[in-house]
Amino acid sequence: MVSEIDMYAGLSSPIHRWDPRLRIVSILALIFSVVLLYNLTLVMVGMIFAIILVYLSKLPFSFVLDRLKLVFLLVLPFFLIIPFTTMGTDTGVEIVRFYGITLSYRGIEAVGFAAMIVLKALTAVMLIFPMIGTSRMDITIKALEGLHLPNKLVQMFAFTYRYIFVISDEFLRTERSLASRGFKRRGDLYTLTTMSKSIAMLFVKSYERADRVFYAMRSKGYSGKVVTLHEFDSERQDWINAILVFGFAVLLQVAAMSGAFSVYRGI
Amino acid sequence: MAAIRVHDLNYTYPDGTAALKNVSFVIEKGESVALVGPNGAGKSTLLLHLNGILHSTGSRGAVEILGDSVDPKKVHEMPKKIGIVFQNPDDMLFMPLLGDDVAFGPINLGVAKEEVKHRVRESLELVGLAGYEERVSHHLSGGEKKRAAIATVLSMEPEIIAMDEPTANLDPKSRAELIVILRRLKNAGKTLIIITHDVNAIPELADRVIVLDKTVVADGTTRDVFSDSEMLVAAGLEVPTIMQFFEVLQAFGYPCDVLPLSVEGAARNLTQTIENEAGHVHLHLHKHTHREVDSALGKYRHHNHITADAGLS
Amino acid sequence: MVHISDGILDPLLWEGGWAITVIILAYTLSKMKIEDVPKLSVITAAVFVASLIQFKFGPTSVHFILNGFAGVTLGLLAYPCIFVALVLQYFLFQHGGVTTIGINTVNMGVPALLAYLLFKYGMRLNLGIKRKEILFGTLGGGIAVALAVLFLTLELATTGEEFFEVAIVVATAHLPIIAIEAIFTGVVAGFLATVQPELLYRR
Repeated sequence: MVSEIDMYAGLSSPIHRWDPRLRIVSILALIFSVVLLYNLTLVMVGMIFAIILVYLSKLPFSFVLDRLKLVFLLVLPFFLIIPFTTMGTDTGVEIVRFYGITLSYRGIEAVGFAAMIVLKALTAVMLIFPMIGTSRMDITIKALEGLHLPNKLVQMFAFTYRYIFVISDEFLRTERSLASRGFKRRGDLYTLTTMSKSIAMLFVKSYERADRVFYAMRSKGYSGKVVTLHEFDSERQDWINAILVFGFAVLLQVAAMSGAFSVYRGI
Repeated sequence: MAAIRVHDLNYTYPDGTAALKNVSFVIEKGESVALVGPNGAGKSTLLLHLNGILHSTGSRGAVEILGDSVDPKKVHEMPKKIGIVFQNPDDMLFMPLLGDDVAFGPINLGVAKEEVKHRVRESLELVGLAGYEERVSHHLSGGEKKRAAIATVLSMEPEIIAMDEPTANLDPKSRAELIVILRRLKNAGKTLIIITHDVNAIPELADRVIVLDKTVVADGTTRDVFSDSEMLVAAGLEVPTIMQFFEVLQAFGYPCDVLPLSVEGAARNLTQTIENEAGHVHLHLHKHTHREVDSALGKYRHHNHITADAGLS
Repeated sequence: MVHISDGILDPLLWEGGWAITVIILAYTLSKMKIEDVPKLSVITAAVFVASLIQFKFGPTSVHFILNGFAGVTLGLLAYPCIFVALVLQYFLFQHGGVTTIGINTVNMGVPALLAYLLFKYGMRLNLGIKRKEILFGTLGGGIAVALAVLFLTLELATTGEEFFEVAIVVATAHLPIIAIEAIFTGVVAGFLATVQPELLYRR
């Protein structure tokens, strides 16, 4: 059910070797920076940089594209709707009018705006791969601890991640036993109530498991804090990478604020 | 100083049902005790009292581990003395990697990082999972998970180890491997208390058996406890298959008094008995044999509410 | 899907979303006791798994959102639960966005907290009907989703006129989900009341 974002964490690349803590912070800054851009050209520049990072990470493009497909489908409605509906001033060429909705082609500017949105979304998702796809998930979570996120949250990330697999196995078993008793999923009320009950049962079992896990943890001396053996240390190269990426993120913003690039603001 | 001293332990579940009544026993250091009883007897609940996670109702009842009274406020210090391996390994393996799970205990006990790494390596080796530090618990087999769960407790180096159904749900090979590990622990001088329904494994693992059915129904050597058939049936239990078989053999005239409890013991028993009888042993049928065989078979038959020949037509 | 990806909403909205989420998280985390962390994690894992289940409805299939359920069963801790679930959904599936985690948590979490309050105080009322849990579960579930959709729609609409139509589409697409989740939460609440009441009355 859960296919692994970190399946290529074992590869070797400059991104893989980058200290996860610095890597996450730098690329995160880049994502935020790109999202704050409102100029198509600058977004495209950001996208090219993202593609370079993905290339450097040696993650297979097919792997990345596969995941991007879903995002693209989600953002597509925006791309289709925006150029054909209102956009600030009424300057469009009317195509058709029905039931009070006017569809008109609003000009290249609207298409540009829609394209910007799509590219931004794709860039943001693309950057997830060098950011998180280059370390094992448990190390990513330990990096969050190294970044001083609240201990309770980090523990939640770790334990929740661990038990997602256990519980989805349990749910598969429930599904199979329902199927073996002739239950088929249809779009009716009976299906809904049956599924609701089987999901409720999943929660009951999870709650009982949670009790037992807690007993096991306490029996091993747990008293609130979780410390692991993993040690991070950063070298000069890690900081150089950080400055490059973080610097580029800042550069994008400086360019945006310089006034040399026009900004799309509908309002 | 006894390893475990339980005196007059009583416990009621939050919903009012009694779980344990007047439970008392003493386990000395180095002993290996099997804790048996019917389902719902309170065995797992008893285990949770040994490290203070649950505590006795009211002020009655006391648990002492290695001479010290168990303090429910100091549960996190108990793992130094007693480690509990719970029944379901998925409940014991809650960290992202196996190495993290095995390291969890000693880190909590304040052991230095280098020493923790050393203990992790050793514990995994002891259970036959050398090099498994970076494995994900989710991808392990059932047998590997059970062994991993034990490793997570061994790394804390407690003197006493309690286990809840260690051999349950294992294929024959994994079960055999697990029994080897438990014997290794026993030989290393650990005090073991093992909850199990696996009657055939008990002679290999334990010198002593405590039968629990909300209260202590029997407490003695393995042989003594297995010899009291009435008590066993009343408690819904059985004896090792080999022992039953030799009782049937006795009805056919096999001349031995001390019944073997395991297959190895049976081999020794046969050798000794045949030697004693100058090289031959005679089995015979006479008019009472059939009745005696029936009696031997019926000794451990439980009173069933399900009629055997109800018929499916 | 009620959570929105990066790059669509006005930055003021998602920045404000972060501010609100940080505050509410800090508060709810402070209410979290040590014992709660493993328990909440396992339940969050269950919520996560359940939210991946597809329910076929007509030509499409929808996912359960479960914020109403989280509110009713977890109370205040529904907020960190939703936050963690959203972060993990982003890490593992790239659903939603990272700049929008704050506002998405607000959109789903605040209605969850309201559903909790509705359920808690509704159960105290003396209405003379059996199984009040089903009634308030249904109300809680429906309102939680409805508010989440409403918040998102308003946010899209205020981001700019270019998003107005999209907002309407999103809203109408989610109408059946409101009904579905209302029924779901009601059934679950009723089920839990009989099978494991402590899951409903934790604090």
